[in-house]
Amino acid sequence: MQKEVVDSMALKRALTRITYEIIEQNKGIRNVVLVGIKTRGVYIAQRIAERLQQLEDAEIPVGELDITAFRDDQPLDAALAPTDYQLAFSVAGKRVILVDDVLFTGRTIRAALDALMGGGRPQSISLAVLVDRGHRELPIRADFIGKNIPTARQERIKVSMTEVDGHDGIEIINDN
Amino acid sequence: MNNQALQKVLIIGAGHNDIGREGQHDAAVTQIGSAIRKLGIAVIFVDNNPFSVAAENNFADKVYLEPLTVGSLSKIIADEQPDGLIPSLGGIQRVNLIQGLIRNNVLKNNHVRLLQWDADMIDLIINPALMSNRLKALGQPVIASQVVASQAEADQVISHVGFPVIVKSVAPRIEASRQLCEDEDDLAQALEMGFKVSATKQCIVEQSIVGYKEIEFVGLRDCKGTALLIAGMENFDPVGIHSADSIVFAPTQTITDQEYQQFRQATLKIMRAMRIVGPCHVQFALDPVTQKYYVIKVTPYFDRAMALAARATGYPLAAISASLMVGVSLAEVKLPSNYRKQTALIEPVLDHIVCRIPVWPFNVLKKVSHQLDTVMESTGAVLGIGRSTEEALLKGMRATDESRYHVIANQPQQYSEGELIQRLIHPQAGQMLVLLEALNRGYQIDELAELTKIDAFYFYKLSHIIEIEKALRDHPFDVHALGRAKYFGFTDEDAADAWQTTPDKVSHFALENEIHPTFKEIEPTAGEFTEQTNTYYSTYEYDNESQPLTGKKALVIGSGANRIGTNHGNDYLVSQLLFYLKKADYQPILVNANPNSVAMTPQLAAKRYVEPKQVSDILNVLAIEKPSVIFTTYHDYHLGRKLIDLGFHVIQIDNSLPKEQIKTNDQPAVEVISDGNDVAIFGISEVIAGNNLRTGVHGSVAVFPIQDKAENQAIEALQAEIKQRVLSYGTPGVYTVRLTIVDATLRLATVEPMSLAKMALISKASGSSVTRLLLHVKLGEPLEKVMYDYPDLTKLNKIFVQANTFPYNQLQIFGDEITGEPGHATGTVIAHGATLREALAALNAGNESTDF
Amino acid sequence: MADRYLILEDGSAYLGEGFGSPAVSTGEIVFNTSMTGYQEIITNQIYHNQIIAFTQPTIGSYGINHDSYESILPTVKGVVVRDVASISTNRQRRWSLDQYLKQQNIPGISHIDTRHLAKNLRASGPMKASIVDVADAHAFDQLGATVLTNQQVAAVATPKPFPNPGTGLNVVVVDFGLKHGILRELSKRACNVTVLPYTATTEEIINLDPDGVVLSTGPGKPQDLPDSVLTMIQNIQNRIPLFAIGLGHELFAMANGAQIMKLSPEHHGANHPIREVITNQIIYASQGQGFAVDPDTIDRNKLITTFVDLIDGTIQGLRYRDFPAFSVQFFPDGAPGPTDALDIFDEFVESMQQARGPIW
Repeated sequence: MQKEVVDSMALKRALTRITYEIIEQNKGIRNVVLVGIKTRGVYIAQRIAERLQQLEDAEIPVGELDITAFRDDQPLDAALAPTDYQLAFSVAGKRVILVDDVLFTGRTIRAALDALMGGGRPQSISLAVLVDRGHRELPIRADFIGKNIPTARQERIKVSMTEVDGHDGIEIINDN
Repeated sequence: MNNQALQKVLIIGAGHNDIGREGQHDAAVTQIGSAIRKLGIAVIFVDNNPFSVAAENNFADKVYLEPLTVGSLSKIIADEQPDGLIPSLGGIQRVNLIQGLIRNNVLKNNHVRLLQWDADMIDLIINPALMSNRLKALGQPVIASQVVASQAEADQVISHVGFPVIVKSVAPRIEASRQLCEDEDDLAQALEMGFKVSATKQCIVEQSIVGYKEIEFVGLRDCKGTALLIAGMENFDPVGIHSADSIVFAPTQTITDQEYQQFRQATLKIMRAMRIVGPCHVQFALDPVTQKYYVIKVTPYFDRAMALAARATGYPLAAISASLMVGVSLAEVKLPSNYRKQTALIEPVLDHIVCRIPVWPFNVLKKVSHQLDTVMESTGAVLGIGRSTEEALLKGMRATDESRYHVIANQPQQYSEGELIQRLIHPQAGQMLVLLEALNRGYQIDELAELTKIDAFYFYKLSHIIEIEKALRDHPFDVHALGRAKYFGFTDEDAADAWQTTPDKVSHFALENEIHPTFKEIEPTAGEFTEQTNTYYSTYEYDNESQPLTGKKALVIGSGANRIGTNHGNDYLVSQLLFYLKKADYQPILVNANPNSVAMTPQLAAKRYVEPKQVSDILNVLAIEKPSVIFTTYHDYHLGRKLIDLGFHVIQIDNSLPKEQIKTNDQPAVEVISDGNDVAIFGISEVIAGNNLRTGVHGSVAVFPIQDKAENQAIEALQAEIKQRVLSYGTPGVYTVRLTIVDATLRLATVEPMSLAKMALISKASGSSVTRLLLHVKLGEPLEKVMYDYPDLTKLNKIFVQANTFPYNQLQIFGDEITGEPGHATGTVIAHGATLREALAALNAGNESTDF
Repeated sequence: MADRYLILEDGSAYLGEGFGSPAVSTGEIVFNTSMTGYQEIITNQIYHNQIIAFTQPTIGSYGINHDSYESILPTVKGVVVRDVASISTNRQRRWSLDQYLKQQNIPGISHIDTRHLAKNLRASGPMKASIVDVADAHAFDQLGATVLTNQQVAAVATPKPFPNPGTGLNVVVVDFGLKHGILRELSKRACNVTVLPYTATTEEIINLDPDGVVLSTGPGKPQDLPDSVLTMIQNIQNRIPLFAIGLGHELFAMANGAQIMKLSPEHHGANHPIREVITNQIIYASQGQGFAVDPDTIDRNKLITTFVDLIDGTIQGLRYRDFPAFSVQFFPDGAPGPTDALDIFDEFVESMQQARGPIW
């Protein structure tokens, strides 16, 4: 069973609000870089960057992180060594905003933090997520949240984005 | 979408005109084709309509007069390698063709992008059930409809949708109709009958929305998702009468803002969800009691509602759509300097009221049922534009060319009471008369609204018209009564009738008392911005906005209502006259009230007046413009005579239908042009029997040119005689000299003005316009000057054939009214080939079920 | 129907026919190009003391509906139309426009060349006008001598607080002459609303413990309001999510140092393309504005421009950089007009939810 909980309009609105909140909390966008976690986090980061550019007329670097190799709950992938630094730019001295689609247990974010650390010492790292669905297993919280969606543990959250899925929306999927 | 720049696009035309389809598609192609060319993109155009204006005069880079079939288009695509296909300019039939092209991988293999739509749009258009599901998924209400195989299943449907319902038999073995069921008894009866005649023992039970208000919205969307509303329009007649057969008002007259915004939102939502680029027409049914609505139809291809929306608002819809089609966004569209820069993005607003009134073929086809229902029967429509509902309605009725006694009230009708009620409940063509009669007999407005399901608002307006006319009648030569009557759309002729005097006397009286017509511009911002559309309508108010054009001016009286009988050819003639008058350094001015007319295309005339053609209407325009010459075409012979009598310089072009029954005549004719002093021959034509094409053909086939050596020699010998006979005719013009065979030798029979069909045939065969020649000889230029660059047709190595299409099937006409005479035609098709046989095969291709 | 005149400050006189009340009345005349929603426009308090000329030629064609009021009582000074349909055909069978205006003592005048009038007003800007029985020198003298009040907000805003209960977020609406559409949209989102007079102090607002504050639409020139209103905004905006509309938007801009200028030509209609800067999307919304924020006076370290009118570049929306306080010049609630901007109310609700934090 699946149920759309966020439609395309609401999803766009959430991204818009996150963008404004990033400006609010960083007192502007100086030194801000966005780092998206693959796959949908990258598209979200790009959309936020586009919005920032519209408002501030400045280009914000967007990096991509693939954290499959870093996760402590996944077997290690030999092809991608966790020590490789993946970004095309240095995060040293930057205000890094890590972007993901869904915040759940927090393990992805922990892995992403590991992957970031190879690139120098950022001034700060904050976290933006489109959905916070609860059920944290680590002491991690998001600074920017598109939508809080309370879920049961066995439910799944599916974020669709036009770039990969052909449309925008968020659904709760209950496999039972 | 692939962002690679387009270099060449293909446009498929609509083919021959038909019931419900006059020039609107060709008008769209002329505008869109030329706008796309201006963007530096080449346009390839395919059509088989000899009266297509778009197929001449450089509206496209290359024109193919070829059959509209998958095979023929595949070949053109393979040869031309266009990189985009515009799917929306040829009506529903061309959507079917494009489905064929997609299924045969023609677009894919030749790397042709489908512009405007996703590929699945084609399936949605062709299959209403798919569209209905898609709309449901978007949360849009659609009419419930279900197949049932038993009374119990039908009862189940009723428990959901309630009465009334419509019951139809699935796959009926006999001609079965839709049954409207109001209660259980009706339903039981309809189901019993329906199951009996159904091959599958099934019926469809459909929720009935007969009597709801029918609302039509036209939106426009670009590839970036920006979308706006072009027009909201309202049918005078309720659901149950085909919207083409219904009087339509723009803007909406009786719906609230909440209802209006609900439709606007739904229209734009549908367009965004389906990612439609360009205009889209969405039809809704509104339950006047509950405010609940249903989406009846989504039409993303060019249609009559879009033509009306463009004409009513003055928004340059076609030019803007052209840019959108090739990937330009609404914010980037560049318009000519007469429009304000952001015009494409301003939602049009009106400060006038537009009324579209259908015209029917019943004056010619008398035996057809005049009942108005869900089957479309009108051949065309006209506009009435004014500053009040009354004025728009009266001007529209006048523009249908009906005698005004059919329009104006206080003319007692001979119906019995029962008959009148029947006619109110079951409307027929020309229903306005019945409504006025009922009001005259004292029927109450609420009662009439209940009987007819027409909003009470309109009955108030009709009562007002009756009241004004009565006041006029009761007060001869009263300034106030006349002023008021004119203010609400009456004319000198109407007042003359009421006062039992002449229009001339009324006109003098009006001018003495400073009752002047004023003209206002039809522009899309209600006066908020300066927009120059050069299109005007008359009213009687304080401010006149129409300043006379300067320079050499020619006024052309347009073809008006599209009636049955190759009238569409007349619109072609008018369009060509405008085009070549402009080339000859005239400022052409058009008077025309037909929204679907190609002649209304903005680049043709320097100025347009959307006005009826009653003498006083024309005199009002003449008083402002004072043109040096007036052109009338064959419809308006009497009008032209009247203007001549009043001292105007009028050139009458009365080339019309072939005079005689030509079905069996397969004798040759010589096609000529004369300047009054000399005669030149285009070539020989022939009319052959329709059964040369295929069996079951009612009409005949025209063939041109005949390259038969013997015949040509024989005609060579007759040249002096032909010349003499044509010159004895006197006036410059184009003529058909019919020959007859007497004792095995060719003799001259009759000389008649060349028919429009023949003019188009020769123009298309030669690739050069005969209208241009006609215009110049009519303007008094010598033949050698007019003809100096005309192609030599004796060198033509192709044969062109042309046949009329008829509405007999559509209108369900049987028996002795089927004659195949040109006067019954609604359209014409052309084809060519190296031999007659090849040409006839091409004519038949794709037209296997066309009513020839 | 009696002949009456519409006379203008510039000396022009238009002959027409009276409807509604036979009173003589004077106000500033503006033209509105909306295609629908005459009742909503007539009852919108932004038009307090003004005479409205409709460019849509037929007005009144479905009478008066009880769900189309934008205020309890209309306070316009006159209605100018080409053609009035003095009928009530709608299912609710309330009053005709003519009856309604008679009840409300508002004169109407029909048979006016409203297209010419609109073009005239477009060129010269709004001016004083009267609906009178005789267009003589005396009438023009009277018109010239009439001084229009600048206390419009005080005349139309609620003098006392009143509730509009709901079960959701707690919202305070500060009333400058609000449109019912604002309350309608907040109700749809279940908000528990308290409407306070425009004179409400910071303390009075804070004491209601709102999740968000709305500054409403209203009539007149923002500079005519007391400075205490600006102080209140300055105190609230950094503590509670704030959403300001119309006159509220102008006040929000002023509270943050921007200046307000007279707009000419004014915007009264629903067909201008408006660009949302952040998404670059174009929307359409109802507008009724005689003033605009002067873009040259915006402190860009404080305010971000969020919406722009694409016709004349006027600012249509602002947002404070450092906290969730934002405003729009247009009417996102429509009524009448497009629904494209309705989701700004959702944005406001989501800002309030976000400020409260997650509910688990």
